[in-house]
Amino acid sequence: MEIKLLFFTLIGLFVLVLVLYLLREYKMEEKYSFLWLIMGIIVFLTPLLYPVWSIWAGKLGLADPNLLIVVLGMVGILLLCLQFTLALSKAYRDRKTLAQHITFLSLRIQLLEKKLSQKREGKLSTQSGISKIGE
Amino acid sequence: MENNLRSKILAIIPAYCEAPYISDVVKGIRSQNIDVLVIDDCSTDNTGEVAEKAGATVVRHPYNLGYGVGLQTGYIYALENGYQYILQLDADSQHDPSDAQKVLDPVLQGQADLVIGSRFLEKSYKVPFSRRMGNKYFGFIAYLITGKKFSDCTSGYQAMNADVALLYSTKILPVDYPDSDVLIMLHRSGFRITEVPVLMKPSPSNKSMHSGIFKPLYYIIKMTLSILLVILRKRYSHGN
Repeated sequence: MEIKLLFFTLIGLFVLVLVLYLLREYKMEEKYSFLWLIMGIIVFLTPLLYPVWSIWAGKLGLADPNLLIVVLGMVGILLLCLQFTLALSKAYRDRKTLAQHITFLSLRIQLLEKKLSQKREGKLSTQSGISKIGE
Repeated sequence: MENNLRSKILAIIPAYCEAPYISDVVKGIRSQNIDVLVIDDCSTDNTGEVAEKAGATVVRHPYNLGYGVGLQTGYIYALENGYQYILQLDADSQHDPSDAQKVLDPVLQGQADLVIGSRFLEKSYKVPFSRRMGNKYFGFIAYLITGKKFSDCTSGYQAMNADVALLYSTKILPVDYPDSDVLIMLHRSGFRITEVPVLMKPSPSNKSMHSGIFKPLYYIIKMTLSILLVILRKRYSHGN
């Protein structure tokens, strides 16, 4: 096997092992791992798929199959970025909703505390009024 | 069942836009003197109000978090409020509340830690072919790993004790589809799981977590990965 192809296999293997390790330790959510796993498998299988790359590079008019691998790698990274952007957008929306929810809850607690203290003060003043009459 | 024991049971019902059906489900459980918690997953209809009127305690998520998170909210609530046994069922009236006793019994008698209400052990509604096949496939994988046959890995009608709920309330519960992977994890950790036959009706709303083309495909890939991870992860010692 050529050195460059062996290099791809090692990178693919490293990505796969790293992602599985992060999943095993609950450091990565499973739903965000799929693209990484697909990328890892494709990179790992690159030496086996090399004849296929050569055929497709020829069809696309690319002189070097390695160029096709680089282009596909870039597409993969773009897809990963897109997934992160979508996840971030959803996380931002959820965080905003949560912050608004907490804001309204705080307001309700403040109002309840105010009502409670007014009630207590009312009771206290009534009690002191009674004791004054008693004196 | 004694009233003293009933006060230790909480039925949890995650619900999202189930206003037409939730009332019957809640009333069916409340009629057995069992406390009910409905987790309203930010429904856009009045599911929460209807459930409250029917006699349930209702907690509402500030935004839609999904079925698994709804269940986990229920487990945490149950543990924080001192409940010893948890019954979980769906809000869409697919699960018959009158089967609650049957599902709870093995847990209450200490014969099992988790009980699954299986729709395949008794005559039930005609389950779609794809779902039946999916169930068989994951049931077979679970059998290969645990040596135990599960007839209904995806049933949401379950009863459990506080030990299982404690485990479920941590990060180890996969909150999108807690199915076969969780059963395998529990079995590997020494929990006793059993199945009882229950009657299930087709979902009246005709909506499912697994409907469409991409969702079932995603489910199969995701569940296979989850099962692989369960094998790679350490076993949890029972009671910890």
